[in-house]
Amino acid sequence: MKVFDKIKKNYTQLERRDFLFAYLIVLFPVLQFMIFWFFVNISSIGLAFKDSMGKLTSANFQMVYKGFVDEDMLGINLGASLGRSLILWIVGEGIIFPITLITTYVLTKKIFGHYVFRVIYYIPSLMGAIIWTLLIKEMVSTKGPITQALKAIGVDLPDKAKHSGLLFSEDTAFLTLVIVRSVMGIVGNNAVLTGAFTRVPDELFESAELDGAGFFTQMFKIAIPCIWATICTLLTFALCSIFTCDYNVWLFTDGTGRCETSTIGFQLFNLTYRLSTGNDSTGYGYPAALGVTLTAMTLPIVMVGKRLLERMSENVEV
Amino acid sequence: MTKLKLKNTHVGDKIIYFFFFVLFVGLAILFLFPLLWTLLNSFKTSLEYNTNTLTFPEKWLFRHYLEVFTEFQAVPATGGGEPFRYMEMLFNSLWILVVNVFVNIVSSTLLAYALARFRFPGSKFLYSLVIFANTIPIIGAGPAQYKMAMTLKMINNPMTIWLMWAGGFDFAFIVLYGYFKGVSRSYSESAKIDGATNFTILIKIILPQVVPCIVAIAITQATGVWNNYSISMIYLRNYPNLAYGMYLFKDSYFLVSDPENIYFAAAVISCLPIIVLYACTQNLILNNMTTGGLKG
Repeated sequence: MKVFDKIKKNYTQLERRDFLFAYLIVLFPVLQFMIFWFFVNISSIGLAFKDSMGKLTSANFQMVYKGFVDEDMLGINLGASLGRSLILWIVGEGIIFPITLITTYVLTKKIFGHYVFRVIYYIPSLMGAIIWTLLIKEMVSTKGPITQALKAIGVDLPDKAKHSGLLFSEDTAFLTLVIVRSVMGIVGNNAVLTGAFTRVPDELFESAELDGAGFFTQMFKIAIPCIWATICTLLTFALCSIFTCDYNVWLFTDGTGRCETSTIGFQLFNLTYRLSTGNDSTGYGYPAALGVTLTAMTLPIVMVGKRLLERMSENVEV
Repeated sequence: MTKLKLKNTHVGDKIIYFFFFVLFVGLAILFLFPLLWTLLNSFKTSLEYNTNTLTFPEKWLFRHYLEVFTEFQAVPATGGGEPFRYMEMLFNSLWILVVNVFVNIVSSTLLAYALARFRFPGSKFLYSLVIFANTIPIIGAGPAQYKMAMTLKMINNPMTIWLMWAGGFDFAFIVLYGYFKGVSRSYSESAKIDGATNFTILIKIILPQVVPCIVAIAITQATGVWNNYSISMIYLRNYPNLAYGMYLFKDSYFLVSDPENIYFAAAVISCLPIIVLYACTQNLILNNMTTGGLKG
């Protein structure tokens, strides 16, 4: 009642009407968030500390620990999976993101054929993960054109790769996934970056040109500083997926993570999928404990990364 | 940005642009090759495909495209029950797409509008909460989410599953929030003086101004939803969409002749609408999808 009295005293009738309207329209999204985000995550933490009978236990975390030092109950070493997730993330964000940034900038300069190039680069995203991965799988199979081409140019493939395809040998499977991820990653964030680049006023480039600024000066001194806030936002989102990017390992390996390709993202999806098919031996506790452990590992990285990016944003001068 | 005028460009820059042009052509070939390879093999017989995947078909079998609608069947993952037909999965893809995108956009739009335009008690906290939810990496909530969906009887239930998709605390919010902030307040203030209600202002004045942004987000989300296999794989197994159906079809090869080739034809048909949609709306998407910084 005190709160209502305070609101009545401090705000006009018109303002109170505005508040009521605002509260009404945010009610549904907030309720949805409370149930499907807040409650789900709290319940996930709860599940991590319970056994299948609902009793408090630390056994789930012990299993996660065992998974990191040896193998988990599904026969997967979580430490190696974490390493592979990190490799995919570094390739994606450390190498491919700068390339995406530069190529997107060049495309926004409307070079000859830019419209067609943009549609073509978006094709993998438009075709969807299932179709795309199954096509790539066919192409790197024994009879596929990529395996055939590698054989033709004299690449000495391991026996397993020769007889069953590149995704069936420990020596080539993960490398194939890294290459596929690199090529596909070039189009990532293209839409948001293009939107940001097109908002940079033309006058800035025109006057820079009159002053004799070349391609790299215009890009690094005008375009990138102007969209720095957008870049920081994308990098912050990228940091959140540091250990969880899986790039369809589940689809590439038919849900097995064979030939040392499993990643943490793969393992998390696999555990949820197994639960949904009733084919699990782990229950809810183990995947929940794995999630809590990974969240605890990722949280400081994201917090520090976000703070650093914010500080860099403050220092960027246009 | 204005079109590049090579006439006025330095020689060094001309070389750089030429290098990028060659790079783009190379990338285009790389991206187009799988699509053309699929198209080529969709016209072959199974025997021809298994003999050589790179040659032209002896006879171009256009009937595979018709057979997608008549022969394409996907056996349920459980192994039992009637196989799903292509048209059934196409229908599932369509309703999942429309419902998913609609509820998500409505939720994000309402939340973004309220937080961008009104300073009500708690609005700052709510904004910080959205940023927190988007930037804090909560990992591995999938099993808990599945358990929640089971408890609420949402599994294989089209009448309730949409509740899960109606989250407004997502990337769409961040884009829309920036857009709403940029819409001039003068129109809505004049309308208010003339006696318009908040609802009328939202529907008749604000929304028409943000339609391009909403459409751009909707199309971007539509491509994701159209291709999302996990929706059907985990939550709607009795209502497989095309993405999941394509996955199931790999285990249903025994039901048809020339299965690989029908699969390729189905792949071409499945991705064609979304490629055409993107090609037609590319400028709209690229000019309206952007975001600023994340403070909060």
